[in-house]
Amino acid sequence: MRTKKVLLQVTCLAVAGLSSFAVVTPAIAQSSVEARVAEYRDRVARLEDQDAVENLQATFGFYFDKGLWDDAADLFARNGSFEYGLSGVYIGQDRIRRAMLLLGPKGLAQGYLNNHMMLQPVIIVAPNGRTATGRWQGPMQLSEPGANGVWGVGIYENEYVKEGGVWKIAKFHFYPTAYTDYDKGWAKSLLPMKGPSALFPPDKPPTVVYRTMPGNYIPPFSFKHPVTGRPLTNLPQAADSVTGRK
Amino acid sequence: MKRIVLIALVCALAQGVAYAQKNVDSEIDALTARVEKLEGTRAVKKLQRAFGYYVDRGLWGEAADLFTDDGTIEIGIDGVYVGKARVREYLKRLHGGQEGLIYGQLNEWMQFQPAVSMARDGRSATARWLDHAMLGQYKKHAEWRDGVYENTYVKDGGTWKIKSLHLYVNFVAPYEKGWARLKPGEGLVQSAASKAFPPDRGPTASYRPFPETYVPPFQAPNPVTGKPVRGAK
Repeated sequence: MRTKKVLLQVTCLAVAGLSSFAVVTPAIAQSSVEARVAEYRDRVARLEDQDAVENLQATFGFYFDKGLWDDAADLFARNGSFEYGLSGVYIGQDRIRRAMLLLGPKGLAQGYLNNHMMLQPVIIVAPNGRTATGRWQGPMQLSEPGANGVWGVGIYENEYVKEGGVWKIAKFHFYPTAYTDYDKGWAKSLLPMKGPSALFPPDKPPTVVYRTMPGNYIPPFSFKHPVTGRPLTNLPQAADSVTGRK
Repeated sequence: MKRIVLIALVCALAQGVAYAQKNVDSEIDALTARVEKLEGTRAVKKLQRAFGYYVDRGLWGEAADLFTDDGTIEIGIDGVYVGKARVREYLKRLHGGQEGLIYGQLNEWMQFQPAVSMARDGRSATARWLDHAMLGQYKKHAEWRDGVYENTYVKDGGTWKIKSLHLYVNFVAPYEKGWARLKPGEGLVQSAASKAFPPDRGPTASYRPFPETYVPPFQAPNPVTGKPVRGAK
């Protein structure tokens, strides 16, 4: 009797075990484990993408600061574009490389300071992980030989693309918003931007025409409001009778 | 007998598989929690940086919408304003009372150097930030501001929001004279906005700014020793 009872229990257990092993477990295990792993494989990849984009822009800044135009231009995608204030748009690495020479000789030279800080990033990576946008805060410390030092501020609104597994700059757009003479400060001195170069004209005219301070221009936002989720459209731009902005 | 042994073996094997399955599940749960904390840290940084970008451009409503319904803001010795509507109104009045900025008004509130401390459960966080601001009005005045933020954030219905923002202003110094020529008491005053539009609560900290020394209290412990930071006393 006793042996039979044990035998029955063991059989039951085995059947239960077998059924869960052979029928239920593999199906659930495979779908749920794989689905869950796949889901956060994506989430980890997006986190890595954000880091990669931040490092890319920071690296651009380090090259750009020192006049390493070749290295800076190498960070752009095949059809990457470069637009700095009212410079107009330069397209492709070769054009970008030469356009940067307008800011100073390669490697700069005595008396040039070209510090462009890349700070306060808000990076948004597309769900498919192939493109991204970034807004950056850009204080500047500038000088050219024989001239006073200049403090500046501006906003970068850039786009990035992953080509062959590597993040590159697809669209570089720096909106300087204020320049001031170091000796005078922004109560007394606000300097205008330069226009497109006659020496080496851009491939396309500026995509946005605006003035630096004292005019208040709001560079458009690439990212949606983090809490409301709404895009920031209809920004209250100051009217400008010359550009026709109302 | 052989059959019984075989069945028992299969039984044991099945239990082993179930056990392994349980392990995988708990490991995935643990990893998910870690990923969520990394994402949470990202969200907190994005919130604070967005706050800076919105205030920079006079977008008071967008800035206030980053807060929880009972969120608070406290700047310098102006006292504490509670709730989105009060946050919005205070920010607006602090900048002259209009929507947006006016011609020649420079207002760069830069948000630097985050040290984010995420709660174990990943549902709240604190952060210390460096405030570096360029303020002024063309043809009138220009100032540098230096300060430290000690803020708190919560995940509210799946969305990260600012619960409290506290900017300990160290000084507001005229550009021309610079901070080294500030006399005691010059570097921080109660704003006209706070006098005309009194806060819901008084200041939570009383301190004297630069040239006096003051260390805004740290919410987070020293990451190496794990001990609270008590300052130089």
